Order: sequence, then structure tokens, then C-alpha cells
Amino acid sequence: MSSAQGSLLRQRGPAFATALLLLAGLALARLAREAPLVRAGGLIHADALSALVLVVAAGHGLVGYALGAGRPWRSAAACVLVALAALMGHLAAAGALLIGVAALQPAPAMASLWARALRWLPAGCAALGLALIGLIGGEWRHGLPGAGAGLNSASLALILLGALLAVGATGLVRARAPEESPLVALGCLYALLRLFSLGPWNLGWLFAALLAGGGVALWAAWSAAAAPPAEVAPWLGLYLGGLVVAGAGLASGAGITLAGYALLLGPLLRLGLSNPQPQRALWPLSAAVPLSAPFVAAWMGVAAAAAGGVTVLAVALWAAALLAALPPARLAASAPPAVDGERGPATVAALTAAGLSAALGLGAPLVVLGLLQPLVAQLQAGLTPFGAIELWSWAGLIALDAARQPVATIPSLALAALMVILSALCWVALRLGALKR
Amino acid sequence: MSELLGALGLAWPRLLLYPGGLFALVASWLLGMWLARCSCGPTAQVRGGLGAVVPPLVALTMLPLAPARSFPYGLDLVVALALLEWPQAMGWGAQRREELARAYAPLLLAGLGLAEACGGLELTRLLRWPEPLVAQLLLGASAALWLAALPRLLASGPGGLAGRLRALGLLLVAALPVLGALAATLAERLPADLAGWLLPPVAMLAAGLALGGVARVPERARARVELVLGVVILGLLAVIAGRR
Repeated sequence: MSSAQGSLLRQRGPAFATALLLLAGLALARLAREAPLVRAGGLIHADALSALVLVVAAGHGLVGYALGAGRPWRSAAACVLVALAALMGHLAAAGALLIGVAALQPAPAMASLWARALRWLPAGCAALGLALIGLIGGEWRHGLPGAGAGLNSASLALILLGALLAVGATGLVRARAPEESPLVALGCLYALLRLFSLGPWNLGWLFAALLAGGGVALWAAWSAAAAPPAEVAPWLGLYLGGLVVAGAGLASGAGITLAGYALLLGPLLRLGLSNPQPQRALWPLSAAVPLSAPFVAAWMGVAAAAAGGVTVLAVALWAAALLAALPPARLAASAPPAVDGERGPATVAALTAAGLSAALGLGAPLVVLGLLQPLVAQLQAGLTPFGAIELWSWAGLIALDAARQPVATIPSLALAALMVILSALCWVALRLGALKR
Repeated sequence: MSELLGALGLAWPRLLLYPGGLFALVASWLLGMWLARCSCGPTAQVRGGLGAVVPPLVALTMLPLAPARSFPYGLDLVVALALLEWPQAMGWGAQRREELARAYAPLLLAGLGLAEACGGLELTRLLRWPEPLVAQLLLGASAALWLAALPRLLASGPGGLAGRLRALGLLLVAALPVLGALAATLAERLPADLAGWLLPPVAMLAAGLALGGVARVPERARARVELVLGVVILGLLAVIAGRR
């Protein structure tokens, strides 16, 4: 291999490996759509949740690469470890891989010993929680019957605590923007969602997750709304983490759909808002824009809570969405008029994120069909019937309550079609008016 | 796919005549004049042209109002509010979170009451007058709070066609429970066809007059009304929660 080729491999290799991981995730979503792929006596357990984690991990990896994060090979290795943890059917192996992900996270410069130790805490909590399940239940492979016997309050509390610490909930206590470690957060949130494979949670656990998730989402959105532009991405990441935990707390098909969609949204918001400059391309990253991905996530949160009969949470998440919509909208609305010229990296990142947001928002029915419905179906053993978000054929999405009655609707495709028709009509009317003058 | 295309094909009267199209343009202009008389007209101009006008117009087009031809794809409160508030959101360049919270908190509390009273967020549910008295009171108080919150929201909002359409949409959302109540009360006295033609204008007019009346109340007194209605809604929510 020539030195030029070696240099190219060093430069582009991590991105190439992460892109392969993304393709693997999409392929797995297709292969494991009907039933999980189980190999080696349950040691490998690849299902729809694994596929979702692979896709999101690859998304975070590619975003990190696009943002020019240091040590790209290390970041790619962390992505692979999260993916392996999601593919592992063995609880101890998954926990150990999560610890490995934490080990690969870059340590903040000049961090105290305590701060360095704290970096390990979320993954440590999640790994300990998973290990407790195996130890108590006597079955370490989560795909096998009897694995749920080990799920108790201590293990769930540890995994929930790990997830909250990993998404950066301590930032709320310290009133400081949370430090971003998206892959550790993804790993810990995976561990939390994986618990639904083991069986249903009891009401106390659900209430704790609902309260924590809703509170974190609202508080993070409140903080994001007043944060300086450089801190918007971490706060909105925490808001999304709150949505995932709240979705898990709802423990319904609708809640899991919300959690999955919020996970998918994470890389996209990081890409657009990590180095934000006032520009109009940031509009689609605001939940104020109907049919954008953040808006659809907000709608899913409100709809899932309403379908579950938790109307107070629905309104709390509605308020959180309004507040979370403010920072990107502020940046977009205060943008100076566009000047023709070379596009800087921030503009390219914002444009890419905006395009992805529009695709993920308008394509939400496809995302639900391809990625999230299989996820809900495969975690069904641990879910309650209080709410489902389903496809509204060729119209958009519909949220149904326990009695299968619609409680919320977002006819996104019908809305988009009507908007196109109305825009065309208005344009023709304006042109005719101009011709007359 | 054919369902969607069929529905869009049948939506032309909604798009061009009622409740969107011609009706929306005329009614929003009349409402704008009325609000200006009641001194709660908008002050700021909105940027964006066509892009600011289309979302509120689509929301108006999809409102579940008789006697328009039924449209199979209805909106819910969250989507309707997002579409209607788009012209306002376009001017969020200098918006502070405290102002945002103050503007939308009564609306969200009203939304909580409406959703709880109707058992869901769909706009069509607002047309169904509930049977239990507590739910009726909750629906009425929530619609009243929604209406009471509008003058402040509209006064600080954008002007122009987009602002007027937004104001009309927000008003018509509050008119839906009024229409439901009228339909339930007069169901046995009016033939269904006549009710379909007569009651929507009556409900809209009642809501518009009520909005004008509320707008003329001094700001401090209006804040007290909002507070009282908020407490009433929370109390009724507690009663409903206690009965479960």
C-alpha cells in the first residue's frame, strides 16, 4: 500500500467504516423485520431494536466525523462497540461493551479525578443493572424465556439512573450545558429499552420513568430556550433524551415509537446545531415548522401521552416542544439576508441537517413502517395496550388509545399535498394580478 | 393512494370556497376590522409572503365545519396550532422564553382542558358536546380560557393577510365547542340540514363577539379572568381525576 493510500485510509477510513455500519443497520432492519435473528444459542440476538441502535450509532459517528471531532478511529470504534452491545444476546457481554464505549469517550481536558470517574458512572450503572438481572434471574441471555425473572427494582433503578446520567440530566442540577457523550447515552438508553424484552414493568417503575423523562424534557427545553447558540445542541440532546425516557415510561406502542423516533432525531440535531450560525437553513430544525422532524417528534410525544390517558404529560411535552422550537427558530429568524458566495462548513452542515429533517418529517410514516413498527411488535411482551401510533394509509400517522379510538392525527402527506395545491393556486392568482397591473 | 387522491379531488370546495378560500379571506378581513375596532389588532408585519399565508390557510381549509363537504383527514389541536402559529413563529428572532411561556401557557392549559373533556386532541371531538356535567363545564371553561388568551396573543402577533388568517383560525378553534353545544341543545328543535347551515355562522359570530368583548376588558382584569378560569379548569381536572 502506498503512503498516499495509507493516508487516505487514515482520513476516510472511519467515515467509511461508519457508513458500512449504517448500511448494516438498514439491512438488519429489513432482515429482522418479522422476527429476531438469533445465533450461537442466543448469544447473538439481532432484532429491530438492535437495527435502530446500529442506525443511530452510525448516524452519531458520521456526524462526529462531519463536525471534525478528534480521533476519528476511536469514535468509529465506539460506534462499533455500541452496535455490538445492541447485537449481544448476553447481558454481561452487552454491559461490558457499554463500559468499553465509555472508555473510548474522549476525556475533557484538565478534568479532575472525580470528573473522570463520573464519566464511567452511567455505563457502570447500566452494566451493573444488566448484570444484576442475569445474576438474580440465573439466565444471562435476554432472548430466552426466564430472563425476565431477574428484572427487579434495583436493576431497573440502576439502568434508569444510568440512562438519565448518560443523557446529561446532571446538567439540570448544575444549571450548565450537559457534556455530550451521545454514544454512551445511546448505549444506556438501549439498555433501558431492552428491558421491555424481559417483560412488563410495574406501575411504580413506569411512573418514575414518566416523571423523570417528562421533567427532564421540559426542564432541558426551558434551559435550551435561553441558552447561547453554542449550548443549544447539548440542551436539545438532553430534551430528546427526556423524550426517550418518557416514551419508555409510557410503556406502550406509542411510547416506544416516540422513543425510537427521538433517538433517530439525535444525530440530525447535533449536525445542524453543534456549530450554529444564524441562517435560514436552520428552520427545519425547529419544532415550530409543521411537518419537520422535530415537530413530528413533538407530535408523537403529545399523541403518545394523550393516547395513554396521561393528558398532563401531553401538555408538558407540548410546552417543552414549544420551548425547544425557540432556539433554532431564533437562529433562523435572525439570519441576515443570504449573500451569494462560497458555502462554509456550518452552512453545509445546516443544509444537510435541514434536508434530513424534512425527509425524516415527511417520511415519518415510512420510518414508522420500516423501523419502528417492527420494534414495537418485538417488544410487545413488555408493553401495555395504552396507545399506539400507526400508519394512516397514504395520509400520515394516527394515534389510537386503548380502545383503538383515534386521539390525535397528523395527516402529513395530505397536508403536504394541500399545501402544494394552495401554493400553486396562490402563485397563479398573484401572477394573474401582476399581469393585470 | 387512490383514497388520498380521491379526497384531494373532493376538497376543491373546501380549498376555494368554505371554510378555506373565499370564506377565509372575507371572514378574516371582517375579523381584522372588528379586532382593530376593539383595539386588539396586530401590530407587527410578517415577512415571508406566500410561505406565511399557506399554513394557516391550510389549517382553515381542514377545519371540521358544517356545511362543508366532509374531508377524511382531520387535524388535531397540536397540528392546527402549529399551522396557525407559523406566521407568528417566523418572527421569533428576538423572542424570549418568558414571553413565549406567558403567551402560550393559557392556551396550553385550555388545550389540556379541551383534550381531557373530549377524550382526545382531534378537532372533530370538540364538536361532540359531552354528556357528564363536569366535562361540559370543563369544555366550556377551556374554550373560554382559549378565547380570553387570544387578545394578548393577537395584539403581539403579525399583521397582514397571514396574521388575519391566523386570528380567524384561532377564533374558529374556540368556536367549535360553542357549535357543539348549540348543536346538542337544538338537536331536537332544528332539522339537521338547517342546523348545518345555521349553527356554524351563529357559533362563529358568538365567538367573534365574545373575543371583541374580552379584548375591550382592561389587561389586568383580563389577566384575573384568565387566572380564575385556569383555577376552575384545574379544579375540574382534579374532580375528573378523583372520579377515575
